[in-house]
Amino acid sequence: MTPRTAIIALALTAALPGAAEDLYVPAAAHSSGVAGTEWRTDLEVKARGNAAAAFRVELLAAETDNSSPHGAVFDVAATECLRIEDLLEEVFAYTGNGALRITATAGEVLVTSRTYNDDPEGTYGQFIPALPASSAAGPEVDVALIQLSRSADLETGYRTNVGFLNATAADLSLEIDVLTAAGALLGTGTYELVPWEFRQVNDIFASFTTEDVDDGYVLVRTTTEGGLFFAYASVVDNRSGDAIFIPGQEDEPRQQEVPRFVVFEAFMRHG
Amino acid sequence: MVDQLAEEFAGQPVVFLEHDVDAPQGDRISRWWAAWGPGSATLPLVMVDSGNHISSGSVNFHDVYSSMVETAMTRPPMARLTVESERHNWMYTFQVTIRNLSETSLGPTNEATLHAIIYEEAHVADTDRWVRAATSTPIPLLEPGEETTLSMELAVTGVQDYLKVHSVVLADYRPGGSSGRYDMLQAAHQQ
Repeated sequence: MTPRTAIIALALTAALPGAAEDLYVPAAAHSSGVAGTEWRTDLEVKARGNAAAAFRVELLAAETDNSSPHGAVFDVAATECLRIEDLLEEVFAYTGNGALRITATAGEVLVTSRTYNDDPEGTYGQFIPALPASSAAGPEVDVALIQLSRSADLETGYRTNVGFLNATAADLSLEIDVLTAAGALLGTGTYELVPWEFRQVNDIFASFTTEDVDDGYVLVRTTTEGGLFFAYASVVDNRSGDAIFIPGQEDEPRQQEVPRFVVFEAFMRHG
Repeated sequence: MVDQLAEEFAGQPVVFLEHDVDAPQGDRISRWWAAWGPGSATLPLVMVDSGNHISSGSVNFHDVYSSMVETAMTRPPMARLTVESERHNWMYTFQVTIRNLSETSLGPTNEATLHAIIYEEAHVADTDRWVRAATSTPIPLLEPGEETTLSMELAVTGVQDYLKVHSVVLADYRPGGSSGRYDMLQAAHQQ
C-alpha cells in the first residue's frame, strides 16, 4: 500500500451511511479466474479540495448478507492521494469477489479503482468508478448493460460476467432480460439478493444460449418496491484475460416482445 | 382432434388451420415436403413452425400435436411483425412491417418469405378452420435489426360468412439456405 497513512482500525462495523453520500465500487476482487487469470483490485482515494479527509471502506462480500460488513478506516492528508494495492487481500485478507462501500468520515473524498489480471508479463486492467449511492437504480427503470459478447469457445473471443449489488438493507428481487444486439430475447432470469449482497454471474450468456453472441445486451430491473441496485458487466478477452468494465446505464423499461405465435397446419383430404 | 386442440389451446398464441391437400393454397405445403424429403407420406400431413416440426399419418394425435405446439410456443420470436390488413369485397391487402430479430441475415439466399393465409371458421371438411386462400412474397435482404415493409394482395372466393374470415401473416426462412426444412420466424393473427 503506497503511499498511505495509517490504518486506524480494522473491525467489524455496522453499515451506517454517513452524512456525506456513500460511494460504491460495484466490483472488486482478489480471486482466480478462467484461463489462469488472477484478479486484484487497487483503490485510489484523494481528499477533496485542500482539506484532509478520513474514510471508511467496507467490503460487501459476494453472496452473503452484508448488513454487518468488515470495514477499515483511513486518513488522507490534504492534497494527497492514497493508493491501497490489492485491497481485498491486504486490508481484509479476503479471497473472492465483492463490492466496496466508501464512507467519508471527515471531509470529502474522490475515489477510483482498478481491477486487473495480475499477469507476471504485465497486467491487464479495467477502470471501475466509485458510484454515488444516489445513482443506484430503482424499480422504475431498466438498467442496460451493452457492448457485451460471448464466445462458445473459451479460447477465442470474449466472455461476459455480470454483477449486481443490492444497495439496500432489505431483500431485493432482480429480473434480467438477455438479448442479442438485434433485440431478440435469448431468455430471462431472476435473482434474489439478501441485504447489501454482491453477486457476480460469470459467462452470463452461457445460461441462455449455446451459440456465440457477437453483440448482445442485458437489461436489469428490480421488482422490489423501494429496491435499489447497481449492475455492471465485465467483458473479458478469452485469449489475453484483458477486461473492460461496462457500467449500467438507466434505460426506459423494455417493450415486451410479443411471444411467438404458433401456426399449426394440417393438410387433409376433402371428402 | 384439431378442433379439440383448438379448444384446449384457446386464448393462447396459436392458430389451427386445415388445408385441402389436393388443392393447397399458396406454397405452404412446400414447407411440409421440404422437411419430409422425397418419397410418399401418409395423411394427415401436419406441421408447425413452417415445417420445423412435422408429423405424418396416424399417430397419437392429441399427444403428438400438443407436444409440437407446446414446444414451438417456448421458442423466442425471431422477427417482429406489424400487420395492417384491409378487405375490399373479395380482395384482401396486407401491409406488413417485418423487423429481423434473429442473428441471421434474411433474404433470397435463405428463401426468407412472407406469407398471408386467409381462413374461415367453417366446417368445409374435417375441421372448423378451412384455409380459403394463401399467397407469399419474398423478403429482400434484411440484416439483423433491420426492418422493411412489404405488401401482399389476395383474392378470396367461396366464403360463406365474411364475419368468420380471419387471416394469418407469417414469415419463414430456410436455415440451411437452399435445402433442408424451413423455420418460422414469427406469425401474426388478425381476428
